[in-house]
Amino acid sequence: MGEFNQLAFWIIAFTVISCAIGVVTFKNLIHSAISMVCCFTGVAGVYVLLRAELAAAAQVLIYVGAISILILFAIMLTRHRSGDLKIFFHRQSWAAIPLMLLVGIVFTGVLASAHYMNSSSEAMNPDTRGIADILFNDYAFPFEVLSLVLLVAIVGAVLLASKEKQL
Amino acid sequence: MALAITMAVIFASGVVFPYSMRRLWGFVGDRHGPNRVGPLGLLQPFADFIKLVTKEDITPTKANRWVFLLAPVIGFATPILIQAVIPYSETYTIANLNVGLLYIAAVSAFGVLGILLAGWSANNKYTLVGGLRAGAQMISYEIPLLLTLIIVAMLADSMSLNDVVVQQADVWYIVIQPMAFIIFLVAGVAELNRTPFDLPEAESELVGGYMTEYGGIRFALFAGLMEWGNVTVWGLTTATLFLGGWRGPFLSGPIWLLLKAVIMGLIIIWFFATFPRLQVDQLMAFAWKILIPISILNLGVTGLFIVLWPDNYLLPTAIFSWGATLVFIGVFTFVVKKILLGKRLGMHKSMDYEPWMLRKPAEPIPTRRQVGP
Repeated sequence: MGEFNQLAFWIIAFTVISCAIGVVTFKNLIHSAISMVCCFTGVAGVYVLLRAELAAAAQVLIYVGAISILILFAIMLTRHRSGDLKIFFHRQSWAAIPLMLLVGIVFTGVLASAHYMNSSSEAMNPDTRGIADILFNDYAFPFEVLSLVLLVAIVGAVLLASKEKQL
Repeated sequence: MALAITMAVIFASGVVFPYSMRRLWGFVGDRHGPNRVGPLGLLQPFADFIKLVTKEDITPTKANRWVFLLAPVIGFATPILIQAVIPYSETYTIANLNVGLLYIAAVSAFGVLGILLAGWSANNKYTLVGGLRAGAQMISYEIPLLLTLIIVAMLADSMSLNDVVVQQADVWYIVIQPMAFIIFLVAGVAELNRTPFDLPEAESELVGGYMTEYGGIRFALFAGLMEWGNVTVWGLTTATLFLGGWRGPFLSGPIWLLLKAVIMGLIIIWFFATFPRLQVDQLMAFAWKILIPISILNLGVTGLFIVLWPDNYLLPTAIFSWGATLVFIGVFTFVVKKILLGKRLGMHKSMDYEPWMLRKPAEPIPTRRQVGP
């Protein structure tokens, strides 16, 4: 089983990384979006390999089911031709390099200082009930604050969109 | 083994449902239906299949070729993947996930994705409108569907489908929560793009909807196997969640499960032959203004009862749900009757326009005497 997991991990990792490269290099926006869906699904596959089924299901539900479809909707509603859709924000690519470096440094620091658990320990295989306990009892307040932030963002987006319509 | 079972179920649904649909429509419409190929026309689906397979495989020149070819494959993933968590008998489930209900909700996203991409890639306005309609409709009706899934998870105290079936040993959840079953039925019919919610492929306005440009074997994959496979898988899910899954006397588990799924599919075909199609605004209004508030109310009350009486919440929940169901059906019938028979508009009093017009025409309908010199 261990060898199968290793092989599956390398296949998934290769797919995820090549799809992530595809997201930024494809000239066609829809192709980029499909590549992104593939990337998200691959990340869910990594979660399954780590025996975190809840995280995997949530990943597919939210990122594939909601976010990717929203992006596809936005593309299809704004430019309703399937011809060549060129990516239009290439002029900002210089800003990505320092940001990438910063994110890379932060991630490396976090990963290097992280405390890894033994895969056989109890906390490594949390069940749904345990996650719900943590989410709704111990961290109920941050959870509610987060949902409030999202609500504010939605209301703000509606306000911005409606203002643009009035002008 | 597992893949063989899932594929067999999907291919069988692609054979069984189109035939029974046409026979049932024939029965409802007082026609014959297919009755020439083989005894009772039973070989008709195979004849159709041979015809579709031998047709030329056409890709439109201006279509986005790779997306066009990829879309049916993505859409086809849903019915295969969902079957993985359905328990076929006491011992046989392909994958007993402890988040089975969430998995079903997550995987059904691929169906929306395939339809959206199919609609976009063909570079045809009919397919694009059909695809966008399907996407908007499926996202809207997924919310009440998920809310009823939460109710089932609360009643079973688990998200694993095996546990859901085990918990229904004494009484099926359709008896405890008929309201959730009705919401699941209505939202499921909308998810499957079936009448009265079949706007994405409304043939009188959109030719064939998102599958207009697909021909031959790809049309068979989309219209035959994916759509009817989805119907079967939805029937399997409904049977597992509300109708006791593989439970039943005399026969073995898988037979009972498939029987219940086929009955749910036949109910959808019955709807197909009975109801007229909704308008787009009615469709969205029904989802957001009626179905979602009712599901939230149902969810909240069920949760309240479980908190109030943690030991015996089944009886109050059942009483509430049956009451809500009767009220819902009563109000719904009243409103539909009012709209269709035009009582609110006073249509029954004057005879200068037909009852199906819903609204008084601006000009009086010319009678035979007024037309001509």
